[in-house]
Amino acid sequence: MKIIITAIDFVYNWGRSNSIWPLTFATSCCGIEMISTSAAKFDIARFGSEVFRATPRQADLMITAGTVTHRMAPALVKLYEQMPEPKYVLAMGACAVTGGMYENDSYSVVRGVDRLVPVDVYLPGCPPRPEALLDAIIQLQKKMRIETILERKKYIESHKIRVKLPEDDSEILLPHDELEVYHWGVQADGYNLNELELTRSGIGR
Amino acid sequence: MSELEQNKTTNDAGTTPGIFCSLLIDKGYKASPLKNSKDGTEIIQVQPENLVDVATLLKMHKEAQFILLYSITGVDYPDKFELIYHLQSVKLNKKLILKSHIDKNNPEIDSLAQVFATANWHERETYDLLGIKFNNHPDLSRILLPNDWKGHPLRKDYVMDDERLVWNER
Amino acid sequence: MQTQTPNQKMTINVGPQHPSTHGVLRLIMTLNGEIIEDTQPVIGYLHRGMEKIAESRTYHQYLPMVDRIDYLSSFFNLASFCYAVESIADIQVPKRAEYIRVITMEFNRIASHLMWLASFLLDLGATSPLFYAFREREEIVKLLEDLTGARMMYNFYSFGGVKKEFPSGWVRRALELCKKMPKYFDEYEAIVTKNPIILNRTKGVGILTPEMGLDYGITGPNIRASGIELDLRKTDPYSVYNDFDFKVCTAENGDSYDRYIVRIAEMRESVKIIEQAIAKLPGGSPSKLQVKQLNCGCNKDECCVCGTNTKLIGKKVNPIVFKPPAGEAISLIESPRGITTCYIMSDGTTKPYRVKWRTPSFSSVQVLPELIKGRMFADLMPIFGSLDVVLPEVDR
Repeated sequence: MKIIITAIDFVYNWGRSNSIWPLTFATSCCGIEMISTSAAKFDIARFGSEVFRATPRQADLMITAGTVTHRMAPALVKLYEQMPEPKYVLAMGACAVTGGMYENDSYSVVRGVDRLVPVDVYLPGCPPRPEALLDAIIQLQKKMRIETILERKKYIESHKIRVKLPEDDSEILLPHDELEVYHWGVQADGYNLNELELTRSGIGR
Repeated sequence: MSELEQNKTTNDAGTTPGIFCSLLIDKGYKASPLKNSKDGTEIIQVQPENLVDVATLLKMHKEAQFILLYSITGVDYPDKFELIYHLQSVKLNKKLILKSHIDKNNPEIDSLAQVFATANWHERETYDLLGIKFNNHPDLSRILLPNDWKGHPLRKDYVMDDERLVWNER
Repeated sequence: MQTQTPNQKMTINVGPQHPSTHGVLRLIMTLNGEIIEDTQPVIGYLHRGMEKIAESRTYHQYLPMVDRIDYLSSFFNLASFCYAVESIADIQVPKRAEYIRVITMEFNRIASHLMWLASFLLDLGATSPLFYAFREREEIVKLLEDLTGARMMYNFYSFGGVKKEFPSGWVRRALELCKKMPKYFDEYEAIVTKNPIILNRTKGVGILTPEMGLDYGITGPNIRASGIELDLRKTDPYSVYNDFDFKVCTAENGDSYDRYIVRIAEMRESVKIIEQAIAKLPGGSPSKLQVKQLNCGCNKDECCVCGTNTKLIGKKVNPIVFKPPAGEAISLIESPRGITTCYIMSDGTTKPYRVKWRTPSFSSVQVLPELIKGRMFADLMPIFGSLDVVLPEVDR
């Protein structure tokens, strides 16, 4: 059975990987490098991304270019949930990978997009050059070509978001119930070990 | 001008009032001049009670048409808050800086939103980041941070210990 | 079956992610049919806490973060921070460094206006000027990359001057680019200026009266299009703008079309400033300067070849322990969007006590609801695009 499927897999993956349509999610400086990549000097259309779709319903790749703050996080997660399968996420720029230069002492930046959604390709740089973005798209194409349609359920299961969306008016996202978390403090004076144990078990200060 | 001499003796910086400070003192407001900034801009210290009247006077008086408000800055000192207003007059091509001190335990001051339309959002931002309340403001709510944020980040004693924000996966 | 009554109002949400490239801004609009009744902008989706970060970093460690406040005009943010610190610490900047600063700032102004042009016309529906404008922007960015090493966030100024000298051949390439630029600008004007679609969509749309503009604190090309001549390079010159001969571009009506005309005219004036600055550069082109310095070698201060005028940094500042005296300073810079000010308060230690940024896009977003009240929904994009708003500047 699997021998027959490899030919179908090859054609299916070839079609999908050579026509990736990204979703414009440019928040910050990396967005300008994304636009430069789609301009005439570093052409992204020759890799298949003929158009950048503004609506998530017609896109298969979300390039999160730029800093994601706590206020923007619900919008990002809602966009990710609206994209149809098969979908991919490319974390572009240092701010999307780990929080970037704001990781040390900023109070309102999410330290990396992979706290919110599962990420396929990480692309560091501040901002990454357009050639680096094209290199990341080639890596993503390589990753797409080794997938098989028999394991589609596994791929869909791994596309779960890491946070839960709020039902009320609050704008700060809480971690998903299935994850096991521990809390740490930032800029607090005077740690002692007993306090650390308390916060680890989730009781808090 | 006994009022002028009286005010000269109460100066702590020992500076003489400039043009606009004398204008304010003539009209009866208690304004004391501070040392000029490096490029010659006058700095005047006003009381928070007559801030709105002082601003209206500076905007309407024909020798001091300060119609452009650049920004409202709030600074957090150990014993008080300080609000700094930067003004510019387009016709006379002059700049001016107003300062006023507020008590730290009860930080309240009148709002300038009726005088300058741009003060609306600047005061919202100062409230959001520092916690200074502005009376008679049309809509004082958080503007830059999420609506359910706890605390005012730009204060010096702000500690980030909100559990919803500081978590790591095990 | 009930039909919708014609007087019912509709609330729609132009959400944080939308195809026009200005950033993350959310508008909650109340519509009555097609006519806009009320708009409420919601900002803060990109608030990274720049002012609080400054209090835990030294002055030199804060410099790379200053670029990212407005990434399209990063030289202007660097300039306002550097001028404020130099004002507190009484550091003199040599003349050659000032000329290099002016040349890089004017190139950055052209690049920022080109990016504005591309996104403004993309919002109106014209997709091909984007490729033309980016062709020029790539040439300017390549020039600046050879000078500073980065494409967008340059980090080139330091307290007391600039960091590096022009590489060999840079001045000649810059002059060649300046000669080609007016021809490129003529190309844009040929497509856009007399185009009937653009005239119909932008003439008479979004009129900003001078009183309302000054009341809302709007500066820069937006207020110059309403007739007020407020250009800090002429009224209150900082740096060496006194030596150059250029005119302040204004227009009369204050609608979206005039804002476009003012920015195109400003680009041409910037080209003139760059050409004059390169002609008057103290010491001349760098390879000739090196030869002259080898021949002269006198090391006197007044010498026009190896004196203080031709150095790149004034007094060298210790980057590890730099303690400016206690005090405060404010610096005002004319950036492509308006007036950017940086207010620094220092208390004598290595880290600043308070840094406050006043950015021009903050006021432009605040005046947007007044400009679109009563107009149709399709007028939102010409008005918002012509105001030239960059969202990281609003949220800092």
